[in-house]
Amino acid sequence: MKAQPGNMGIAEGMSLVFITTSSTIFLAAWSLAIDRTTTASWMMPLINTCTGLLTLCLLLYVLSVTSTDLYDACQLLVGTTATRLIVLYYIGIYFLDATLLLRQFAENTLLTALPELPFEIAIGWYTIIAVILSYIGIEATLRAGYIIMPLIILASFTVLTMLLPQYEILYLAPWRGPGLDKVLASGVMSSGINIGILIPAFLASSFQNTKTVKYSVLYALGLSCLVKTATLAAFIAAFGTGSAREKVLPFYELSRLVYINRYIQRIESLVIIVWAVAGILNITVLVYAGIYLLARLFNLPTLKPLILPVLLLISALAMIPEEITSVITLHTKLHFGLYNIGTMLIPFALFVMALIHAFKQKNSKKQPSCQ
Amino acid sequence: MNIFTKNFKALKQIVLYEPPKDPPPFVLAEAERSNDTPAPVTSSLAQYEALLRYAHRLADTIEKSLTALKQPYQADKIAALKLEIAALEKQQDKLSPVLETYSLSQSPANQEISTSMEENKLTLEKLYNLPDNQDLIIRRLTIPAQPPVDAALVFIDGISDKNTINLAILQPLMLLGKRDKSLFQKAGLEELLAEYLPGNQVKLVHTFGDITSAINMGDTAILFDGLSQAALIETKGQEHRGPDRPTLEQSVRGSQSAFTETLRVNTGLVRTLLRTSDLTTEMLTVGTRSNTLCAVMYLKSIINPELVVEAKRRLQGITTDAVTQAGMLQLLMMDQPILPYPQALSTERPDRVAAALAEGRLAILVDGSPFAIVAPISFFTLLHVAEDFSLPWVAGSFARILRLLGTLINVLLPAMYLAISYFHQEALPTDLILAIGAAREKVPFPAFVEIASMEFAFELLREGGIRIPGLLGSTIGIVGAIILGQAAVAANIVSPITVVIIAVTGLASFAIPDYSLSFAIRLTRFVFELLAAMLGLIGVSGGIITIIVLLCSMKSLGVPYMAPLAPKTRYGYDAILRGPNAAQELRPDELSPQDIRRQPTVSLRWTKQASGKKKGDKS
Repeated sequence: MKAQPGNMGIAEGMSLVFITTSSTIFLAAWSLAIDRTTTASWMMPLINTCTGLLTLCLLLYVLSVTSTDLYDACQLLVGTTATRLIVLYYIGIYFLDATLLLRQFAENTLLTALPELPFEIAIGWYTIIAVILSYIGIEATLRAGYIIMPLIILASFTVLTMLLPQYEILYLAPWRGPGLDKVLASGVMSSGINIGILIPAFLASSFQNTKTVKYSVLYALGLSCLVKTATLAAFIAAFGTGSAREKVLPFYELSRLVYINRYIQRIESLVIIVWAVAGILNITVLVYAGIYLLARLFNLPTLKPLILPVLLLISALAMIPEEITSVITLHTKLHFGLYNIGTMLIPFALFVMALIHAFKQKNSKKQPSCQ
Repeated sequence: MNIFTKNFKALKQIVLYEPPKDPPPFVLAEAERSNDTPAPVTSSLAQYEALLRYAHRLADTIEKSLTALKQPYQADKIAALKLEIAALEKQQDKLSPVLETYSLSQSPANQEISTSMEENKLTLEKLYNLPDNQDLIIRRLTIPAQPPVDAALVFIDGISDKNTINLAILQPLMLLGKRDKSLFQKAGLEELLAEYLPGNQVKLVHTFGDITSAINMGDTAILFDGLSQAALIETKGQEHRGPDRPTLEQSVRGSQSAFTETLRVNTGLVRTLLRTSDLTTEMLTVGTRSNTLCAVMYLKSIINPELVVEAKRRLQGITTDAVTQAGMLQLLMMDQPILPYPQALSTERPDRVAAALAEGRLAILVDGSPFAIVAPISFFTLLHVAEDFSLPWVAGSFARILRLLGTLINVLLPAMYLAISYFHQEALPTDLILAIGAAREKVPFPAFVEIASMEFAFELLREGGIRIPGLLGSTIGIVGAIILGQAAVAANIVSPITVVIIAVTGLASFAIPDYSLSFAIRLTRFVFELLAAMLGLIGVSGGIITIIVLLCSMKSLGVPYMAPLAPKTRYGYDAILRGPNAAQELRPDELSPQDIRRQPTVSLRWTKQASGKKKGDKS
């Protein structure tokens, strides 16, 4: 397939997983999480990272048994029809996630930066950039992501450090929350947030080897977990759960709170660059992954002609919801529901099938042929 | 003539107007382009002319033969006639209708040298547009061999060394009278070249293509009547300036010599810094009309051979009329010519070229251009300067960070100002925003118009400063900037903050060492200003990510442009920061050199050795 991207290494893989799993810190998802698990919400990223690591182990086993990428592994293990259904599911959720992210980042733009801008223009702007980046290619986009990644981490930790005087550490005490069982359950259910960890498995043939996939997901999940946990903990410590659950954009609200002196204060405008870049990259990667799978599914020789129509459709879909709260609610429900099929159920099913496949292969090797 | 007649004539001129009888002004007529092949009549005419010349020559020879036969027997005359008849036979072979038609259909440059001096002269006249073209000199002489031979020296006035021609060609050939041998005997010509012509490079050729390419370079060709070969003697001697101080890449502690316009001087300058047999210089010609000589230089045991093959493939694949500058060649060889970012380093410093070659890169030098092209490079190479390694590593790293910051300021400062002043005023402290507001109060234009007009003025000053000759250029630039800035503020056309921002941006642009990169950054800045004026920091964010992705997608001779950062390769302490000289152990990983190690882990072996004093010495 001509659309196959080039050789990617750990850096590109890290950027892919980090961008797709950490950009939620700039969205309302964690405010809703605080609503569920109050002071212990900062544990949720830790828990869903653990489930993410479990998924990674399952996927790595599947890839090692089949010695190919996830698409071909599916075909080998569950047959063509089931593969098509599985891939259609992933295409659907990647496009859906991109649509919801597009709408939320466009709304964030209006809320935080350009209140008088028509939201169609905001959506159009993000779409144009995503089209350009997709045309340039996933390899260059992920390399750029690798350059941006330290800046996102640096910016996040700078904001969190500047807020040190504002923290009330007792707000974080888990015993003030709803109980560890609920936190654990919510943490596991929020695994859908890490849907991006499957993309390297689909693009495995573009990575140097399975080891590259393993370490890129491992490092990126670790970094992403660190950023998410620290941001969420800082958010709760700075505002308290009562106030935090009312704030729509955790990171933006945190940066608004910065006051070191008359000259270093209200730096929320400057961090716009960080979240806007993270948002654009996340949308681009998800759209590219969806289009890539679409091209694989229909055995298309190239994916470039699909980029513009797909992104136009996504931007049109993103404009449909009348108000943002329904989008945020839907996104959270998807994180806690539908996406978990992709992050937990399908990898587990494939793992079981891979075990059976390996067992059969072992048996066939042991039994000498009748002839 | 009375007043009545005068008025009558003037009135008559007005009423009975006639256009002046001057010749019509010259207007270039549109060329009539047709794809028709040349009329066969022309080629047959040329064929008949050649036959006619052959017939004349034959008639002359017959007449000479008759005269010789009527006279008493003279061995030398008979021998000369024999040779002339042999040459005529050779010429006749080539005059067969098929060969002649084929020969005429070809470009004269591809024709083989004839045994007839007249034919050769006519071909040269056709090739060099003689007698209109006064550059080509054809000097006829008779070589006093046994028998004497008519010969012609062909060279171009102005690019050949006349002393060499006089002393190393004409003088020995004219002293050949003492020689009793014939030039026409087997290996006679080779002996002549070996014994009589003291030129340092002499060779025999068979086609006019070889002759023209040699004499265009300043060499001299000798054509012999009766022989279908020509001798080429190296007599290059065009006027050229010697190595001078670098003008664009000045350095405090680095070398003070720069390339010149002469290719061989330039290759010599590089070789003086890398005195190794490993340094290879391959010569190629580019440009179908200019025939520009290019030298591809590399260290054979270090460079990845694929890079050399690719560079040569690209050079040989260029089909264009003329390549007169290294910059032109650079653009013709680029991976992404549509993007303004330079994908090769253009340098006038031999020490930079030598350092690059030692890293495993290659250099292309173009005849007539005082700049070398170094490839492959990364974006960060363009922010390095020659003396980085002459400074302590902390100072070198500091200078590099300063240049990088200068680049960022250059791209982002005006855009950030526009974005913040239009959309994100809360980002500024209250006092500052009030000060800016007060300064802008009297200015009737929006901030974008202010910035755009100042940018335009600055660009005009910059362009004017380059075009104005000598020291006057920089003086006018400085004076112009000060006067324009002050006058614009005084006239309330722009606010002082705009002048400060444009001045700082301009200053930052001078921190970028590479001229082409500086240009590309300026163009990027204008795009960013537009984005900031339209969408504030959201527009700037889109611009930033697009430009980073574009840079990551770029290649320089197949090597990623943002290496060693993206893709991440082994870091050799020489990209953004610079490590100590002793720690520069590895060559750039992205170049995949044959020998990755530049120096051993402990390169300062003297630190591990005992000093001159022996243990126990007290003195």
